[in-house]
Amino acid sequence: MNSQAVAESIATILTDNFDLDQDVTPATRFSEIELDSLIMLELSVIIERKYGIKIAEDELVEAGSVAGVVALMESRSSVDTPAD
Amino acid sequence: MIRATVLAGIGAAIPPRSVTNDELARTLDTNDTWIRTRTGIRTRHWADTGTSTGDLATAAGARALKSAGVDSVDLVILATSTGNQPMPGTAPEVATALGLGHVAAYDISAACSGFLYALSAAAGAIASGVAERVLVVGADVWSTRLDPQDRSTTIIFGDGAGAAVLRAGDADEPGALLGFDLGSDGTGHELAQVAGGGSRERGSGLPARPEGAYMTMQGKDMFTHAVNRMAASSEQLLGRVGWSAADVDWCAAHQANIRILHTVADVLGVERSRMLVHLDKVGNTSAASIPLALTDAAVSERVKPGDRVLMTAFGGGLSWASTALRWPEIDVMEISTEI
Repeated sequence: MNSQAVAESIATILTDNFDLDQDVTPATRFSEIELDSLIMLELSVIIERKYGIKIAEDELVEAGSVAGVVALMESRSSVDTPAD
Repeated sequence: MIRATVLAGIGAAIPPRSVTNDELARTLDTNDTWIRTRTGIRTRHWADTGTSTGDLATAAGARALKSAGVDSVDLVILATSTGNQPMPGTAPEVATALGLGHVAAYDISAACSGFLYALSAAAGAIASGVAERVLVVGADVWSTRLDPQDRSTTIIFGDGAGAAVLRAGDADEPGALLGFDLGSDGTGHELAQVAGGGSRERGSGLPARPEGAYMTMQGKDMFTHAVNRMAASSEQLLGRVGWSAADVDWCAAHQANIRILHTVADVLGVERSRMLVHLDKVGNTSAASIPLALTDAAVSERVKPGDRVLMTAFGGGLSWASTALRWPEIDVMEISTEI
């Protein structure tokens, strides 16, 4: 699984798991979506469980987009060996 | 051969007074939409003046005994963090109020994990021959410990009690508890606490602070720990029992927050629709939440005999616990509001 696939997977999680006002792509800016205070907390837990990389919710917000989140994940650890 | 512990009856009780989100919004800076979308809670029940945790526990216990069709047990275990008073435990009063005579009775303090911890204690008592039949109750009246100005706790917690009768039986019969996973982490003890009233405060040499009587909670930290601990504990338990996530017909998870329940489902790989949801009607009832949710689901016949039920809890301490069973054929009455 490469970075693009991880980004697609996280975007799909956001689209499928949360009742958002639009579908999310890797490039979607978080500022364009109506995110409530818990969504980034939930995403943080899901990313840690799925990829074994801990990224705090405020860091996710600052990353700005799914693509930004994946870049942050790559800087923390390799995403080439995900848990699944 | 170790005797199995089998669920023989279940019952629950809540105080009659319902407190809606709109009612709370009159005095707190919040509103119904905010509470519903962030927690899933629509209303909760708070005890009226003069109603204690022991009273709710007694009402739930009476229902569980009736459900099991028995009028005696050898042991009463009450899981609560809001007992009638700091000392003695409340379980002896509950046993007396239920007319159970001079049976063994004690409290367990494990916050929201308390009911499952108490089930494991009951299983130990039955396995060792200390008891043939045990009444386990989870009951809390957190409304007495809520700071009315603290939005983070006041909107969440409700009062209630749930109870189960366990009996000695065989491991292969429906209702047999199939195993346990229990754990704790004291480094997080301040994340959900009543800071005052204990030896730490009284031995500090400092005067007691009035706010020390209230429960405080670090919501975001508890959210993250709740998901991680319940998911990990459930995976451990499922592995021990030999079930996959897909085998779980119903997951009775501690009813803390709908967003926690959904995230636990997502990371476990259990369909969200398989998570029992009762918190919308009663809020977070702490040690009572799992037996309340199971009673509600059994009465409405969502949970049916033979269904594979996973129970998992997380709470202050930090503490967590999981167990599982196949739902037995038992008569279950509606949740009582007669206290």
